[in-house]
Amino acid sequence: MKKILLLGSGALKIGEAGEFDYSGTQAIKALKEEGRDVILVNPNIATIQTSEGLADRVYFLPVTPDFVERVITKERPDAILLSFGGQTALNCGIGLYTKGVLKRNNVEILGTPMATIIDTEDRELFAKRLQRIGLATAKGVTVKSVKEGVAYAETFGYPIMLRTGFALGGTGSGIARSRRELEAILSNAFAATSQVILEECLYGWKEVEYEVMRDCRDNCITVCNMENFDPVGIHTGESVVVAPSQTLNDDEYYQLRQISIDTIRELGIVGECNIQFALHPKTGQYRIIEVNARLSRSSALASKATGYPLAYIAAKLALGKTLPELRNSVTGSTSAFFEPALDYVVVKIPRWDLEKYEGVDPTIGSEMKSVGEVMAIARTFKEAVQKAVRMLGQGYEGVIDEDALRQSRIMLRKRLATPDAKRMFVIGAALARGITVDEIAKLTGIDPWYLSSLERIVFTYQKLKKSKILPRELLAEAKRQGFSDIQIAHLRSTTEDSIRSLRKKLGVKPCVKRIDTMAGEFPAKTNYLYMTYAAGQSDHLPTSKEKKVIVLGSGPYAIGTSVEFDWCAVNTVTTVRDQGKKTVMVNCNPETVSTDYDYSDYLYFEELSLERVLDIYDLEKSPFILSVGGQIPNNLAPKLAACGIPILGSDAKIIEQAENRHIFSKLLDTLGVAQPAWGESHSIRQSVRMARSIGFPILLRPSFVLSGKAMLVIEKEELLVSYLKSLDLDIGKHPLVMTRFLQGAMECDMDGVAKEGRILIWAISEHVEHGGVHSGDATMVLPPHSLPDSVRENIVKNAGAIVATLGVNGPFNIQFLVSDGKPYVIECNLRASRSFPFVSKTLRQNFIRIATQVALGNGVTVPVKKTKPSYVCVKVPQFSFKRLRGADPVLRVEMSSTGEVAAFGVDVHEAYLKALLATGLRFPDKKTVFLSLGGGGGKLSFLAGAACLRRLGFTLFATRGTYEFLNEHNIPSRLVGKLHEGIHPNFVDLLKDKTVGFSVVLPERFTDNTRTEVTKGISDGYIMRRMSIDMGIPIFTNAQSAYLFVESMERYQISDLEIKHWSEYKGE
Amino acid sequence: MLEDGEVIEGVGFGGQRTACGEVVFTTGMTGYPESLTDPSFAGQILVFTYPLIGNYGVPKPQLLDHHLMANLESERIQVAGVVVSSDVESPSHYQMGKPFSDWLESQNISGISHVDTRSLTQKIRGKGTLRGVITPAKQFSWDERALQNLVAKVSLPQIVDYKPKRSNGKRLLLIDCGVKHAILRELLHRGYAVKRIPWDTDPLPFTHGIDGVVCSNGPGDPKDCGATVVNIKKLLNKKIPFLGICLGHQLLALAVGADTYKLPYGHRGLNQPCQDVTTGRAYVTSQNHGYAVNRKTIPKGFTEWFVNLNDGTNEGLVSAKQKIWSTQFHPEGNPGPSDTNWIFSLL
Repeated sequence: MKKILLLGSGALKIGEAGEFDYSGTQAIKALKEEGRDVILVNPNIATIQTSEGLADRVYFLPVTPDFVERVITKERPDAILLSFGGQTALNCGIGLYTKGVLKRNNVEILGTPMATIIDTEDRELFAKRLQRIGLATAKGVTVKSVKEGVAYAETFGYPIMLRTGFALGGTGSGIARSRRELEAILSNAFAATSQVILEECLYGWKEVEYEVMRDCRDNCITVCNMENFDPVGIHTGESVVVAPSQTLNDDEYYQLRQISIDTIRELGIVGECNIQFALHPKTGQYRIIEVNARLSRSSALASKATGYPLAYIAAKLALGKTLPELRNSVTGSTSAFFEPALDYVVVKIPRWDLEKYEGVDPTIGSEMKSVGEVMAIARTFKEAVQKAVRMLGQGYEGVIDEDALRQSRIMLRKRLATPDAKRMFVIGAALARGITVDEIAKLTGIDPWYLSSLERIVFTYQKLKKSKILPRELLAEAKRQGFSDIQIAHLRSTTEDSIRSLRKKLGVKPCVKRIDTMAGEFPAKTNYLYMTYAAGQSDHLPTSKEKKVIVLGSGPYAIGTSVEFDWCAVNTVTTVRDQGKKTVMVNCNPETVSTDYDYSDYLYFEELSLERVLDIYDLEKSPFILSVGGQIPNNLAPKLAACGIPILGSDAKIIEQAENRHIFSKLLDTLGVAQPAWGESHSIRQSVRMARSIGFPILLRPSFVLSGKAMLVIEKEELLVSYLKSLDLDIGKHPLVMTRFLQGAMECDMDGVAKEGRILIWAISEHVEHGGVHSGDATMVLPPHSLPDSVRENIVKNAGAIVATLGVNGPFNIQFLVSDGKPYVIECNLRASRSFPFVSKTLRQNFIRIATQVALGNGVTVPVKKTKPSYVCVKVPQFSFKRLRGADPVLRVEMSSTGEVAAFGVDVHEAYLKALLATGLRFPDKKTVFLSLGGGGGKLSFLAGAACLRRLGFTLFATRGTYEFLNEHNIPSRLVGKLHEGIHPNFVDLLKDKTVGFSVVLPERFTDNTRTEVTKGISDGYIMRRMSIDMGIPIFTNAQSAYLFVESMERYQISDLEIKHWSEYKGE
Repeated sequence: MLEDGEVIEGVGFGGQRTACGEVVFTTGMTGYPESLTDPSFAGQILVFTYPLIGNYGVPKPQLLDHHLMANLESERIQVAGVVVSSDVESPSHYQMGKPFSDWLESQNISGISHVDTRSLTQKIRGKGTLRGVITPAKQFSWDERALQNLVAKVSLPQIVDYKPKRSNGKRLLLIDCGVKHAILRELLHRGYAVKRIPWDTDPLPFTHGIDGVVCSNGPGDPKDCGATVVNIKKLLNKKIPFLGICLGHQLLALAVGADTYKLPYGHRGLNQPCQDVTTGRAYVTSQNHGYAVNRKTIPKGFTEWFVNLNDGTNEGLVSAKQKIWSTQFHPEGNPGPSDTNWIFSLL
């Protein structure tokens, strides 16, 4: 067994995020240690696992049976690992198995046997197996149609729980309280799956999870248990999770542990699995809800929470190693066969970004909607939960939030009963407003223990507010309960800085503690650290002799901050280490590789707040690198600089120059570099005047955040006026920035690294979508496929001038719009951008390595000038609209994608098609397409696409405007009605019957995002887009990407797409 | 205050008396009511490394039989004192009878909170087990009796007969050196009839027709239980099947000629990995002991049954010829895992 094929999970999406980069990366390390060759299939180019020096070969290809089969035929691996790439890899493995691919090619499945995987994925088989050994699972049946489901529910009664098999993160799940609700959820679910499980509703039971390991010799341990703060009914990915459990007594803890072990034995899992239980809070009855026979989000969390490297050990077990023969890598001296003892509490809180979407349902429930998570470690629940809330990076200082406090009790009670993404703050406010723990417990199903702890925080909050003086005792107690200096300062009407000084004067300082997996029983040789005020002494006291560099990570994954920044952070620490310096990593995201304790010399699993970063600086006294972790660390740069703290790389002053619109604009003017016209206005009248002089459409950037939306495009004066009037904010205090919106302009991203104002390396990626689509949502092509050389030279020249004038000393990203052959600068950031891993891997030049060498100031490997590569790499965004019920899937100036994939190809078309398929797009199996091309520009831009579809033999269905337009251009299509027209078939009939291969539904205007603010209506376009998503029909909402897709289909069949690994593209 | 003179300040709770004892730590994250009532902890001040203790309160004590609790490990709190990290507050559990601090107060057991239990644990790990005192007073004196005759203090001074609900037809003799009630419950659950006798009672008069002897856990140094060692020798000579648990394991070792020694800081926790040397199978075990059997002194006729995977210490003995077994760990769990409770079926 020499050559092993490992499947990754593809793009980050809701329900499948960075945790699988962690698990895959650990698996590769474990396999390499054992001398195996690793072949990795994963199209997620931003991951660490797809970096150089890890797997022997990487295929940036879709993780689907078809593609992986072709990889198998080519590579002839001896074995395959399916449990490290989430549900995507597992489903692909099941597909390969059922198609007989594995057997035909003699590929052995390592770890858990396929029969077990199939049983755990099919809820009925699973329940049967467990019932056979006397274990309790939720009562229920599988139904295959809406009718069948309703019939069962009518006899079983409501409420009833719905779940779907073969799905990640519970798509199509929910609780139905009535027949009507049941019908709605069922029809939605059957769009994605062929069977739905109806189960007894366990809503309100405690939800507890165990992470269990078993080796091939039947040795079993549970690494960790975790208790959901929220009761059953809220998806564990949506719930605040606490490790270890807090409200279970020894009997309950060990009973569920025993059942976990009985289950893993019965199922014959080899490696790791996650078991979810419902535990009745008043009777102690339990039900096994689910078993995941693979690494999961929970196992990543358990791994970070305990220090036990689950994925690494699971990979070793898959190779036939046993737990007793493996070592505990934290202590280095004890056995891997043990159950970690924690002497701290861990709290995970999900991060939602629902504000970023139009029309999305804001409540949380049995379906996952969160995009990331944070994990806080402390020695009390109170301190941990308050830390976690701050780690979210959404401006919260603690569990008490002023916005929520302003709500009426009636509203708070309503929100307690219908949980939404602000649940924690609603509870905080409810307690502060005098709603009792008992009542909240009743309304929410949350155990009173947690609520009482939160109540203590509220008491202290009130004490801090009311007390005439701030004695040491109160200050120390507040810190032990996790209050931040800002929060205390706010309550004492003073500044953060003065509280900090006072604290230091009174000797109220946090201690550093180590995570050692053994609660202090054995010494740890690793430096996995956290900080707490509930302690008297630090474990880790840094020595001043060591030369260290502190790197700040990205914080939680969110829309706009994803695994790419983890890649940047990991490559930074690796480079610093290579240069002979010690590294200190600070991050708080359990889904990352940067928080593996062996990547850095010291890992602080901590807040990325100014307060905590200063605390760490006070101890470590070392310079920072802030330019590789995205927004959060970048925003700290000016504050840290103001405190006189050394920052490596570009000076904070020039970061300010690049980010301050006024200064930067002047700089561009001096340099003669073009920028779109813009202005700043302080009143409605001034805005209108300014908009007229700039010319519509304009891009508005309010300096305040309105329901999370920072930017929008407005195309007419009337709309501007009505929009401005609809704001009840004083524009005088919050000026409005407006910029000329260049229509139909091509957009480019230039990524680069400079040393003292001289560009060392750069890459220009071309966007497929025209300007107006957020760069994070854009399809990027490298090298550019249509950018004229002359323009490219112009861009390089302009960038060179900017970089030189600013004196950039590190990574940078400049965005250009190209209109009429002229480049306009629209943005400049002096930090690593989201496309750094993409350009680094495409060009095989590690931009971060070079940037880090620049930061350290010595021995920069000056990159070799490369000729234009003979291949193309295309990066495609991954959207998670399916999970965000109600969200309009239209692309806007605000980012909405959750991840990305990239694929290499001989040309843009081959690469694009592969990358699109890698996002889960189903290749149209029917030669029918639904077109609704919107107003104005859209129709013309897709005309060639429509013609191409005809050539390909597609039947075109079109709404009236599009139908007539196509007719005028001699392209025959069939008319489909819009809703108000009253003709059938209308688009609902068409989409419901799933007779179309894919849809192209372009926004009515290119600025559809103004819909709800301005017109408040629900458009047909929205329903068409949303229905396509809900019915699982591939949809394009942008003319350029739709056209590129159609063009690609014309040039390539799926079978034409080449199966080549990464190195084959660099000609090795 | 510790014997090396270090004074640790904290907030007192529970009882108000001065508690003297050996300061030891346990790494279990659950099971504080079980630990506190475990007679093996007699004479000890127990430091919980897990910072949140008391979350689910303490269950209402329920009696299963004479001097046998259904949901605790003995009839009273056995530890001398308790050290925790955080406030003991706001418990919540449907089976709760009392909050943790009220329970301690009702039995006048002193507790201290707001102590950095992690650094205290690290100190014990480095220096070995220390004597200590928890006191609200400024002046106090060390009570010499605190660590003396511990087994005698916790062993029930009378003989009790227990009948199982459903008999398996077998009868056992239990030497009570401070037996955890879970051991009794395990035996009864498996259908054995059990006669429980005090630690120093001559067992021979009761051996007629019995199927085996269990020697229980208990506190302190095995070498303080000379009488029991002598009794065990007598039983082994009569070839009666024998199972020793924890202190019972150490006493067996002494009876067959092996030696015991004091571990620097003991094994106390619910996550101790032990491997069955004879099969290679590993188990997670619940442990609470300060002494161990010197593996180099295991006599002929006996082999090492289990070994601790963390530090390689001896965790059990088995005889090649006779039905004699012993384990250093607690197969009954309570608190902790019962992965090894099959051992009770061996007799």
